[in-house]
Amino acid sequence: MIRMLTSKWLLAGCLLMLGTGCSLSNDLMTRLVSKKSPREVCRVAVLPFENQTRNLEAATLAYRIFYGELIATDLVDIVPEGDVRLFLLRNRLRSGPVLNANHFEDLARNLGVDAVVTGTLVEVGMDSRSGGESVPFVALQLDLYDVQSGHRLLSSFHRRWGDDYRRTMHFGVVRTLSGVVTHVSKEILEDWEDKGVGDCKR
Amino acid sequence: MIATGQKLIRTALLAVVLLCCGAPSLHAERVAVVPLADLSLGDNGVNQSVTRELSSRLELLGATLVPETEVVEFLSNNRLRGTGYLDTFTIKKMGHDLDCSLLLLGTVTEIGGTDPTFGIALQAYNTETGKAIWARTSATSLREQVKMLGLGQPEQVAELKPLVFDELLGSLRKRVSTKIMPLNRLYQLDRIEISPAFAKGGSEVEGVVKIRFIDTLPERIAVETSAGPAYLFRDAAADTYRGRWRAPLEEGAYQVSLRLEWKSQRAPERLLNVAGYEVISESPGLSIEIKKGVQTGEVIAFRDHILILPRLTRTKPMTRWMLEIKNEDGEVLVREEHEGNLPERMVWDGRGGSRSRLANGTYEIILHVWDLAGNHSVDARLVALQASALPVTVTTFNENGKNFLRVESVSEKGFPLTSWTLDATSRQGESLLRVEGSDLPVKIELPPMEGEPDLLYNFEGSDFLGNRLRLEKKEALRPANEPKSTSSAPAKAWVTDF
Repeated sequence: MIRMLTSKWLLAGCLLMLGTGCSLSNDLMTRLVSKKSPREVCRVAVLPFENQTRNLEAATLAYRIFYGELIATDLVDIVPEGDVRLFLLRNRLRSGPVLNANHFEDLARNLGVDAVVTGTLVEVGMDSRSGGESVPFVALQLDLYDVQSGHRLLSSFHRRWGDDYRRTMHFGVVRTLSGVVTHVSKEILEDWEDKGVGDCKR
Repeated sequence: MIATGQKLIRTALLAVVLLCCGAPSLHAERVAVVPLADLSLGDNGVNQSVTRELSSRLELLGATLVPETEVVEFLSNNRLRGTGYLDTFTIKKMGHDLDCSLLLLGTVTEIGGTDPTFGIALQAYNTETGKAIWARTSATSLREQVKMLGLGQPEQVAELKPLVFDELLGSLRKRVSTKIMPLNRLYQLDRIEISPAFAKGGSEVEGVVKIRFIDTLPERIAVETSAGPAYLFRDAAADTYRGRWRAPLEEGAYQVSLRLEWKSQRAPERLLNVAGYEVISESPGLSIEIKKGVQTGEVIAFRDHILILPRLTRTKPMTRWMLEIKNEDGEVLVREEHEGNLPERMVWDGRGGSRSRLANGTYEIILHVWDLAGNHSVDARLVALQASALPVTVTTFNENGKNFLRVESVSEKGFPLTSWTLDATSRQGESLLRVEGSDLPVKIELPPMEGEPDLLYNFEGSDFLGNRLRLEKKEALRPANEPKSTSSAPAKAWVTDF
């Protein structure tokens, strides 16, 4: 009996360690914030990302790549960037806006969206490694808002380094900022899909 | 039986579908490529050169593009400044105005840098619905493309572009209809190298082909020459195809074509005359002409310098040449080796490798030349260097009671003097004789003298090359066994002069 209990605890411990290890190495953290399910999201607009880094163009880079990856997933219908820019112009908003009820109403009425994605590029740069090597890294915060209620449905924070993708020797290391952003975007979107985004029945 | 029939029908349908895919569409739909935004150039940066390169790649996949001028005119007419994005209305309007069904929008996310990188985020829009139908980002860097032993590794951004374009367009092609991108061009021939470019008849020729395929690789690739097909093997490390064949014996220029053999459903494709090489079997036919020297028998003599003029019977380009100058013992004193064509002329001033003047003597000038096919030709000439006149000796001797002078060259090697004058005087300054001549040796009878002849002479001479010899107030030698008499002997008569 004792032996059985011990083995069960050992198994549970291993599973916990594996799970924790995975989540730590992945560094992806998504919270389901609202009680409303992201399954009801069918059409979204992605607002230009706020840039908290010193790299002036990095937020646009991250935005275009995430936007492309969202199109590639085919999870939801996406409003073209030009329409989003017109919305910002109409409401005299800059990137990384804090949206109020009127904005959400405008988004729902004029762009026909159920949700809006806002993003913040938190960190971007090159980290030194041994042997004079350097790898790019990116930290991205993405939120999905329900335009009807204005509530946040999902909130994700993800950080990745190029050598997180190393297989053997130098193989697999991602050495471009675009490459790391692509991976980060894909991983967040896979996570969102797991949490119900893309299950729209309409 | 019914099942077999259904299977046959299915196979037939599959064949029809594959044939349709393989054939270019008759009603190709146009694609508009909006100039790519370039983040490295700031918020409103546009990269037209990368846009054109992307457009060229699209055309290779059979896409019919809206001309760049029409796209730019549309953007201008609609006052569109930012090119990385468009709104739904503009996308539809563009489709309507430019008569295109697909719109490509993109951003160069990275280009250049300390670790040179290249990346593009590209999106495709259906102009009828205004909706995005495809998007992909592709980026890479030189360090990301490090390969085993560095074989076939890109070395500059330009070499990263095809990798990025192929990844993007290969993915796009799978998403859009064959009316937009017909499936008849699935490869991009990057380079084909034939070496040597000039081959000897019957020698081995190697072909290296770098060709990219969007999806499936052909079963076999052959190089087709007049000698028939030579199948290439894949060199995975260098990402190339290689093969060897024998050059024809007959001289001439030969074209090379590529043959791509696909699996059974697809007809082989030929890329005609993608490269060429030339067969040269005859030697260059070299001969040497020497100028500024004087031909004497088999040798050309000179005293200061000669011009070496190489003559070739064939006007093909040469790969290298070598000039050697040897002395009579066969020792190489000068060796000059150079790549490329022969100079029109060379000057030799009689100096050796250390730039010191060589001794008078006979030398052999040998000139070698190799053409681009490796054919060799050689010619040689004997030249005689005589930079100074041969020295002479003047001796007195007595024969049958008479005194004589003998004038002769010190050495028999070399060219003797061809004209000379000799003035002999007594020690008291009395002129004894003056003789001119053209041949040596010579015997000259001296006028009768009291006692043994004791005289001084002046000698001037020159050889046929113009080298001059001048000896002044020299004492004539006596034969070795005849000691010079002293002046203590009594005079037999009064001397006429003091």
